[in-house]
Amino acid sequence: MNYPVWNVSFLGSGLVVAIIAIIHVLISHIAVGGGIFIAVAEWWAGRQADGDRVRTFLHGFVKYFLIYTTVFGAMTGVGIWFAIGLANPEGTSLLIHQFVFAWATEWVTFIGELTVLYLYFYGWGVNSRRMQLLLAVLYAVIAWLSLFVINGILSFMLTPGGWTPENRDIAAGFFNPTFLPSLLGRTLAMLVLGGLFAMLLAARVEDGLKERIVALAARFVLPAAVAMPALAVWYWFALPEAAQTMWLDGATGVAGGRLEAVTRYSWLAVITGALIVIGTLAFAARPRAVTRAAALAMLLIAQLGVLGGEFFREMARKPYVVHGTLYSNGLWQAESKSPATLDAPYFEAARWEPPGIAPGSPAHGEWIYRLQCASCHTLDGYRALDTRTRAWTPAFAERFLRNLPQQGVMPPFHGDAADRAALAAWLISRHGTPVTAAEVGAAAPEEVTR
Amino acid sequence: MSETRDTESSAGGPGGAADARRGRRRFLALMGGLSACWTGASLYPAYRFLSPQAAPDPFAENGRAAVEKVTPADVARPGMGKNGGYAGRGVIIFRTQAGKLRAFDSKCTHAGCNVEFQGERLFCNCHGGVYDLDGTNIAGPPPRPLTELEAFEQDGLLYVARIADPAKG
Amino acid sequence: MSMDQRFVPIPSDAEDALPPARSTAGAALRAALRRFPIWPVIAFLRGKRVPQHRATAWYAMGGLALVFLAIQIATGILLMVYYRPSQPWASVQRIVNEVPYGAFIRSVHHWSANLMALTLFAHMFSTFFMKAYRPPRELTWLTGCALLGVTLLFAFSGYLLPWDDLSFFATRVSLTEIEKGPGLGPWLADLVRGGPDVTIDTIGRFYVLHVTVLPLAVLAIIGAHLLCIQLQGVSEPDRFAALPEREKKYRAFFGDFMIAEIPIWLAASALVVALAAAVPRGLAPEADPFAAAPAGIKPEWYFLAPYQMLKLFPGHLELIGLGLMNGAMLGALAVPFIDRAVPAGARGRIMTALGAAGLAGFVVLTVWGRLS
Repeated sequence: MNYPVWNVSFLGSGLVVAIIAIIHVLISHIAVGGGIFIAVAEWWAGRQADGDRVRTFLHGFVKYFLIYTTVFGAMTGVGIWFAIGLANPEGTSLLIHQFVFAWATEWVTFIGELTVLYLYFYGWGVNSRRMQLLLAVLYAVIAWLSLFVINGILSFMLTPGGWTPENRDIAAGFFNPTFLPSLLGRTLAMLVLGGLFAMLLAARVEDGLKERIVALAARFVLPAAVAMPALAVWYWFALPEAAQTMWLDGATGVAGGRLEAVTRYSWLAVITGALIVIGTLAFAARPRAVTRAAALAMLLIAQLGVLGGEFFREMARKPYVVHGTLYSNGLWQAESKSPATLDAPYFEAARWEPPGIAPGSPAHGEWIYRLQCASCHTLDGYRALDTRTRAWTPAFAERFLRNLPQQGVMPPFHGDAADRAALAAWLISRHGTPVTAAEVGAAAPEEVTR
Repeated sequence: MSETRDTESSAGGPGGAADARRGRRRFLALMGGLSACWTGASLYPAYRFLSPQAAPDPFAENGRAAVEKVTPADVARPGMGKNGGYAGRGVIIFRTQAGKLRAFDSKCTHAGCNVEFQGERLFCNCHGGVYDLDGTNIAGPPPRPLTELEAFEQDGLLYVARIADPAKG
Repeated sequence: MSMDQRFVPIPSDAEDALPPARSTAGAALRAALRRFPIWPVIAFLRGKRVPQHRATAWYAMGGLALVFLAIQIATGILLMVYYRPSQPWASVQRIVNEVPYGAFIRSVHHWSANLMALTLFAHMFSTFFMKAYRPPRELTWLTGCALLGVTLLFAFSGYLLPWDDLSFFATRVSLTEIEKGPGLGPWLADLVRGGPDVTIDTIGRFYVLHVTVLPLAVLAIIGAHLLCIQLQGVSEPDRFAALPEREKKYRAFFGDFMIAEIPIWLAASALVVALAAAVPRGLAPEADPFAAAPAGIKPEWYFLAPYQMLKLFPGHLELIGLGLMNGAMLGALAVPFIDRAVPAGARGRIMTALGAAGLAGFVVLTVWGRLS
């Protein structure tokens, strides 16, 4: 309500963020895991009779790695910044204000990562082996630190812990209940992804060396992947109780308005994890058989697993941007507890108001939709309102909007009866029979008295 | 196979090729075993799909359940009894010589057949289990008495309720 | 008689290939080989190889279809536990709304079916353009065509089972079209429907078809199809066959090729789960035989081409449309008997052009049917 919003039809702005983000998560996790692989492989090369062949492989590895992480990683990373700022200005503002120092550190580590990676790449054949090993280790450490920082902010959104908007205890918010399981879980995921990426590049290496690199990479993937379920369980028990309930209820269908997407996506993560283990075992049993197509297939599974895991985390937070504090549509939980604020006319307190809206007009309803609903719902695409409101009558709509939190994963409606009527009228009119806000308003009291 | 052996010996790792191979095999076996656990876990949805859901409380509605297939006329006079059902389970309802209406869950405690009212006793035809009219197992294989239910008539229909339940129509 | 006389000796080449006799695996394999003298079969399979060339990736399609079939069998068995042909819609609704993970398993079944049909089309067209159907592989081609047909029958019969308004009217339309066929059409339609209209009796027939008749058929035909491939080996495209012998590259089928296929199969399974998680299969309202057909009703994508074809020939011309479709199907069966020359001659080039036209027609009609 305080900012203009980004209206993305069909996909919805949230899904746009999600699509950019899951690609970025895959790339950034490979950037760290691959970095650890380079460091280990550089050390390993020193113990091999044909160490220079290994180093030549690593040089090629880093070339792809550099292009991949700098171009796609940086593009999607900055892309997330653009997208979240447009999709959810209120939440983005909160995160920036709370974690100024962390964000600054994040940019420093990113620049540090790139610098060291370039030094390593161009130092090939120039620097001493010891220097190269040092640079490789340095890269892995800095890259991991960037995870450390962003993980604090990401896990804060789901479990703010001891932080409240009043105490602004950023240390408590940063080192929150899911910080550690999330950090360790992501570290394992990075080892898995780094190993899989190494297998992709090893598929092109000539026989002899290929088998050994694949075997080395399998030692990254397998122990990490096998340890992952333990971290997942730890993470699950650190979740807010509301999220756990949502997950448990989600096992059975949609009856009663329960949200089962969170459960479905969590199983996507579990099943892809098992598939990665099986595929890697096949590779480890017969490293010579690894082809580029097969290694790419493994990365596709990993990408789908990232999708499952990240969507689970995002959906477990519903309907908040910062759990228990700020709703996804920019409404503060504290404000929603005070009837005087919550039931006041929506645009009265707004710092930004769309120009020229006649009260009760279709434009009034549409703007309420854009500002309050569009952060999660599109009209005819992702989580479509047209489908969800197909059977709405004016009386039902009025009552439904007054009791939104009963849906379990919806914030309360912010605004007065006139706002509700305008929104309901606009949504119902989309199904072909025009209804005015006044008609909805007239239907409302009858429902109350019954 | 032979090619793999060649490459491993050319690797010249400490301990020789045989050791490396054995190590790799042991590593794979360990990982395979652990990952089997994970694979098993990913089949959990199928397990939950097949697991029966908790049976609903038969007396959920007002603490009582309507009796099917037995009408008050079937147990109008002392010495009359009939098998019926409630909430998907079997019940045997009869009127004692003293004129009291009694009801038992008809599932025999031995092997689960439904018992029959035979005037002076409740008898199970499957293995010859005998209960007295208090539901106590007095002869044959049944290990425990039958579960008694409280039976009553209301508006021309029969109902049963849990015996400990003080709420009654 | 001594113990050893009752056992079969192990061939010397088997001794070389097996793991050492003192290892557990080696001992178990030797024990098995002494009892079942199948080493010649194993030796034959070990010699199988796959040519390596630019189109090798297409060899994955058949295996992928098998993966989807396996998923179909597993999820289908699970769904059968709760499906009731006497209460079709209510039982599916229960699966979707009440049974834990029921909606998920049903969505997996739905998506895997679609991907299986898609993979089979890709498999058929890729083997067609590689000209793998030419003698001696006629039977492989014919059984392959039969598998595609059975899969489409699976899809057709399974589509009706939820008994929602979409599936009811879609089935009614398809069977009315069959009824229009000259000669046996009305008889066949009545036999399939179990009467003059689609009723609960049709469900009984479709259910039996879907869960017993077609599965038995598909397993038998797949057995024949795979046997053909194992006995005759993987076909080599002309360009590869023309290479000098030392430039031909092969991979061992069971050692290397299949191991590298496993991740692709796993990725396909992951894709099915991801689609089921992201786009769950919905359930429309229960079929009402008296209500108007729902707006925007369309067949599934694999039936859009025939659907559009029928729309193109209105009225009495409809028979032309039906004739064209049946002609295309019969034509596909006749392919290996028309184009036989290796390397491909003039006929082969005409056949490729016809196939390309058929593929283009299929795609155009499908897209057109979707958009119209």
